[in-house]
Amino acid sequence: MAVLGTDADQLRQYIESFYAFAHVPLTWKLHPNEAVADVFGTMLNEAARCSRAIGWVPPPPGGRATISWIVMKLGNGMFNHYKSQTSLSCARAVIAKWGTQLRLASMGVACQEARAWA
Amino acid sequence: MGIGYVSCMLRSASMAAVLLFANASAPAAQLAAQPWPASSQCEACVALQYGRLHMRLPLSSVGRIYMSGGEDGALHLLPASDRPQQGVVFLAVDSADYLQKYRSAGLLSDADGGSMIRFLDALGVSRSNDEAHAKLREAEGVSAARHYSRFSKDTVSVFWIGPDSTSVQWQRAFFVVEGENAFYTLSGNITPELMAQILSNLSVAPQP
Repeated sequence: MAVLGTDADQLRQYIESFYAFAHVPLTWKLHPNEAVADVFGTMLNEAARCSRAIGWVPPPPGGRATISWIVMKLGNGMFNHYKSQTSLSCARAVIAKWGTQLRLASMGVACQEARAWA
Repeated sequence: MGIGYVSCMLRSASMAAVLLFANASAPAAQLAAQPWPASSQCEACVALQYGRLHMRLPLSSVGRIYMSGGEDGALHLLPASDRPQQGVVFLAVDSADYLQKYRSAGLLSDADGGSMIRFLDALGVSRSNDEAHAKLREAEGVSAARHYSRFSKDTVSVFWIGPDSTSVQWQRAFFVVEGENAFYTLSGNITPELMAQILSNLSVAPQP
């Protein structure tokens, strides 16, 4: 189920921006919710590790990203800083790996899968 | 330009015609078997292997081969223009983990989830009054794809989910080798020419 509100809208914009950065068209309807934030947090982390980006944030509490955590960590220009340190190829590989999972979460389908914050 | 490359281009042109026009008006993609492109001489080619997939690709079409993400990382084929946004990326994926994702969500039956081949075959058939199956097809992008094609040769099966109606820039294909615990995905700007080049000299080889 989609979450309404400013933070959810902000999450949607971050995801759209991440896909645009990777030159991957987001051709399906995105419904931001907490499960989407969880998957997107994993994608951000894996892309940063792949790119050896410096200064990315520590893992979220409980190892799961939430909408509010992502909005807090990526605000104030931090997302642009993150993208400037992230490899386009890494972003594309992460979308290839997690894109289906993100779409499932957006559809409201919950999946159990280990996070990759360690 | 080598003879093999010209041959690939001619074959792929006819393949493109089949894939883009045969199903252009179909409301939802159904799995369609396609002939495996004939193997060809390819002297001006580079040999590369990802996992157990061994390929020979024309030097004229591959500008750079890049491995991201370390030892278990992704293999990027960047075009001669060296624009990474136009490239494709191979990933190796554990089959059991991939299917478990759908099982845990209650979307995958034992019959459809017995193997990657059975899963990918099942995606190719739309079923009325089966909401779980419809979600599978939606999540994988099959229901909106212009085509869903299967190529089979020896122990390798390739399932290509074509572009949707809005963009050809991001497509996916699954490369499944019988008896392997993992499969491979190819994502990105998969042109008919590139697919023909990959398949025409694809083989399964032990890891060196």
